[in-house]
Amino acid sequence: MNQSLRETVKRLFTEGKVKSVLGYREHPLSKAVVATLITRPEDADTLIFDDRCVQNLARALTRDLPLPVGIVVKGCDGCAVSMRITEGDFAREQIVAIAVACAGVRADGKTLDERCQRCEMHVSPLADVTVGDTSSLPKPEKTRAETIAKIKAMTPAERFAFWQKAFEPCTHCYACREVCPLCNCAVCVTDQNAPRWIEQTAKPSSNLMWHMIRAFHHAGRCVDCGECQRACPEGVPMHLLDLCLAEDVEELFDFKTGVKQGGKWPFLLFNPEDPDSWLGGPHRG
Amino acid sequence: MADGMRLSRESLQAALRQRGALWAPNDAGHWSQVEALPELGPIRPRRPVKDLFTPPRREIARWKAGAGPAEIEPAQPDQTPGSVFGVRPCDARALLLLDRAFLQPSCVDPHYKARRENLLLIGVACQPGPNCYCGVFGFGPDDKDAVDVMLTPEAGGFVAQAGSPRGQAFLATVPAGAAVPLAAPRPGPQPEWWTGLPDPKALYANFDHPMWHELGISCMNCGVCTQYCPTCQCFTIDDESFKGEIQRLRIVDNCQRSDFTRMAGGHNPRQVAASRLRQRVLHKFSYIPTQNPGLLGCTGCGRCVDLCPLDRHLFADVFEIMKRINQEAERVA
Ligand code: SF4
Ligand code: SF4
Ligand code: SF4
Ligand code: SF4
Ligand code: SF4
Repeated sequence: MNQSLRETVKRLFTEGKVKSVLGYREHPLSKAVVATLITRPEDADTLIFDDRCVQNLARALTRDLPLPVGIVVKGCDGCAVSMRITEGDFAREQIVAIAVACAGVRADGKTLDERCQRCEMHVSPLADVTVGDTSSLPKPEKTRAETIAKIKAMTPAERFAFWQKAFEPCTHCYACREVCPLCNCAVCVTDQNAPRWIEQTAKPSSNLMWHMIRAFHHAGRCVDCGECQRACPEGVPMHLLDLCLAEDVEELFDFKTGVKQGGKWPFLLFNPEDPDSWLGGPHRG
Repeated sequence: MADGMRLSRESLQAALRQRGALWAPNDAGHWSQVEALPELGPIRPRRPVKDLFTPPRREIARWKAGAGPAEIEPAQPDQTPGSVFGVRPCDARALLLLDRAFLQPSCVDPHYKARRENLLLIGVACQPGPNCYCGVFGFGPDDKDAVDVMLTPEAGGFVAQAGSPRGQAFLATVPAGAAVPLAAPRPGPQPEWWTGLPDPKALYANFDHPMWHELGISCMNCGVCTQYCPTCQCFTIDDESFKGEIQRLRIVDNCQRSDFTRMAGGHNPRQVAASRLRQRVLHKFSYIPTQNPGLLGCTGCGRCVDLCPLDRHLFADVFEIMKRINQEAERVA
């Protein structure tokens, strides 16, 4: 894998297809896998891909990078890049997606990450080049519906109590926001103080407000890369809420995030046919 | 070699309760008030002990909303006497640095001062974990220099030694146990590749080095490292209102946030990730040691390494930066 990845990247440089490449390297001292940006073909030899490449590098894409930029993407990461192109963060030709065959990653070095256990993707749908053997990738061990079944089975009152308790440890550090490739607002709602939409300190009202807005802003956009969950220093299960909304969006709008370029993106398009049962409209979902 | 004093858990607990309230880390690694001495983990808890002295959210004043001049009620410093049990050397050393910020004679924080004066620090020696780096800063898991009392756990209790005159006075109130000879202080762990602290001046001289930008790509400025760091001390002021009452709060802030240096006019001198990452490294390894000889901006607790969602390693980065600076200096020479 590493060998063909490095050769592919060198070729992209020599053919003039990329000016820089975002990828993973093993830190020579800490041995941890960290993000790296290379701008010369010879540095491709530092790139790696294996099951320690947990991060979603799509969060590091900015227009300040030497463009076009190549980016090493797993399945979920590629969906996020695709989403960012669709939303207009980048022109398609500014990005070269280097899709790696991903059998799943292991943040703890042992067990398959939770999101990988339910992954149906494994290879990015956005792929300019593909590296690795894509023929024998694992089937999902469980579904998203199973992951959230417990929550869906709750009454509204139980659900409210569940979330209130779940958000209690949140300190409003906003790490979940910073690592999310799709938290790409110019100024986050929680950083605005005129008006102050969300109070800055942890308490039941601000916790609920922050997590509700965060989740709504990800409806139909979250690609289930799991970065937010991994980043949270207090173990708040906020990503479960994203999953609940993803399930709803798929059901109501027949839409899977990031899989296709363009198309009817629920969050971006107004459609008079949109279901609006919560407003008492005719489309009772 | 000096002697330590053998203490049973029960007699220590009774003496501490006699003195006043008791704080200790809870199961979630947060500092909370407790009735009895809890079992501790092997190393520092998730949250640094600074939370008791400069908490993430502190009320400064409150007033009623409405027309006319407000009656402002300043918050009163908490003078509850008591003790903090389970303080680790890295966290205690960090308080020495916070003292510089909050007890400066020209600008004393009365809340911090009250806490420092009223709370006895009861240290407990650690079993270092994989990301413990106190050895980098020349102390170790049973260092007593910044606590009032240092306890080394043993079956059924502790061996206690005083770290300060206040700790000495407290130990005199505990029914004396047998005197036991103290072992030599244990050296603290450090990365096997570590060769020494960087030169603060050389670091600053490389303020404009391109490597900051190269490193910047590996950091998302999420701020977890700074918010869980025992030495980080930045705060901001904000108001919150509830049922017609307004609270003015001092709340935690950190230099990794993009709006930390944003001016009212919109200008932001630290625009990009790299400049914020550089601030964190230079503040800890250059500015603080330059301005406060003998004090450290980092105490090696390793929380930032444990918690970084992008697996960045502060010491590995600092080491690589210094290696590069030194190599380039040699090439020029
Ligand atoms: S919300 Fe979480 S899982 Fe979804 S895209 Fe953002 S970081 Fe990934
Ligand atoms: S959910 Fe976790 S990561 Fe997000 S703001 Fe709260 S504490 Fe921080
Ligand atoms: S860094 Fe040192 S003092 Fe701090 S918890 Fe680890 S062993 Fe103890
Ligand atoms: S925790 Fe890691 S990613 Fe977050 S600001 Fe610190 S070094 Fe950067
Ligand atoms: S910089 Fe990191 S290792 Fe140093 S004191 Fe802060 S959290 Fe601990």
